[in-house]
Amino acid sequence: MASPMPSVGAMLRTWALMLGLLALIAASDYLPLGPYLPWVQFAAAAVIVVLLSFFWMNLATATAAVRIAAFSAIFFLLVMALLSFNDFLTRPMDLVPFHAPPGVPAPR
Amino acid sequence: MSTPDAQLGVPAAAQLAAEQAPAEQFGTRANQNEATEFGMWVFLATELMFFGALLLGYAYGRHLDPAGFAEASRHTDLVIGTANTAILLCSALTMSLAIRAAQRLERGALMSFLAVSALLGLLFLALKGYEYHDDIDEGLVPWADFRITGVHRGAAAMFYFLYYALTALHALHLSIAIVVVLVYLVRLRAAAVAPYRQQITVAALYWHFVDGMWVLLYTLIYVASPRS
Repeated sequence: MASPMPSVGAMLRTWALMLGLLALIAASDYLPLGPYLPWVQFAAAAVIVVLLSFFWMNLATATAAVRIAAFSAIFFLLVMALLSFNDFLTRPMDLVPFHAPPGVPAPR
Repeated sequence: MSTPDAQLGVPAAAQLAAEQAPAEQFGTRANQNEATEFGMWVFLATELMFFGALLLGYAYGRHLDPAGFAEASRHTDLVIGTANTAILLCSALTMSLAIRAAQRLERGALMSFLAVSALLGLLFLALKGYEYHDDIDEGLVPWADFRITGVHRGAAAMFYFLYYALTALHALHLSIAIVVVLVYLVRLRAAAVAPYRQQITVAALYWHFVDGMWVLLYTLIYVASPRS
């Protein structure tokens, strides 16, 4: 038997909260948040995804095996991102402008 | 409480008894259900990693030229993007209500909520198609007479390449989810709910994954730069 679903009232409250967060993400594009803008947007998006996965995909009541499967993808994505950006972020940027070799047209 | 599957004349007790019989490789029905759910989550994990490579490309491009990505993002249609996100969140609600109806063996409610979910999915695809049409009209295709010029042209082209790749991949996933829902709708026209209850519950996990992935894509693509 699948995990029990939340009540209709709880579902509607979760849905309203999700739509509120979506409105916050959209409205934040017009607010003077400066460098905090992406952090506000990603935090709101993350809350929507957590609500979706924990309450409507029943991750909150899932077995340990299911939770491990769910989080393994995020974990290995983070490993991939860390390894990739470890190389990219630690290389000094070459500030010398590009010079086309003789006879080769310069890029647009 | 509504009468389960009354139209088919199948008593709930008989349905549940039929559902209790597990496939031969499983000891109990609960064991089979757990394996089914676990299998879907493993599949969703691979799907997330599938999208992950493109998301890493996005992170690289945005870090390389944040101003170029911001300029390109301002050319996207925020209204359609936001409306589509709201539509998918509504479909997530109707899909959850469908699962609740399936667990209570309420066939009529289940079919109605599945049908509304599929319609909302189709509405999303229609709006996305309209948006693609506008993008092409406005010269926002990086490999065909790209309209954005200047020092950020390269980064903007990378943004739009990722935009098409990510949103088309998402649309493909949503199309598959809609087809799955329609298949169950057809099957339920002449069948009781109980034999399909667990299958529909697991299919809903896929639907919710597609919804969640879109919320992430919306944040990355449509609101990546302030418009004020």
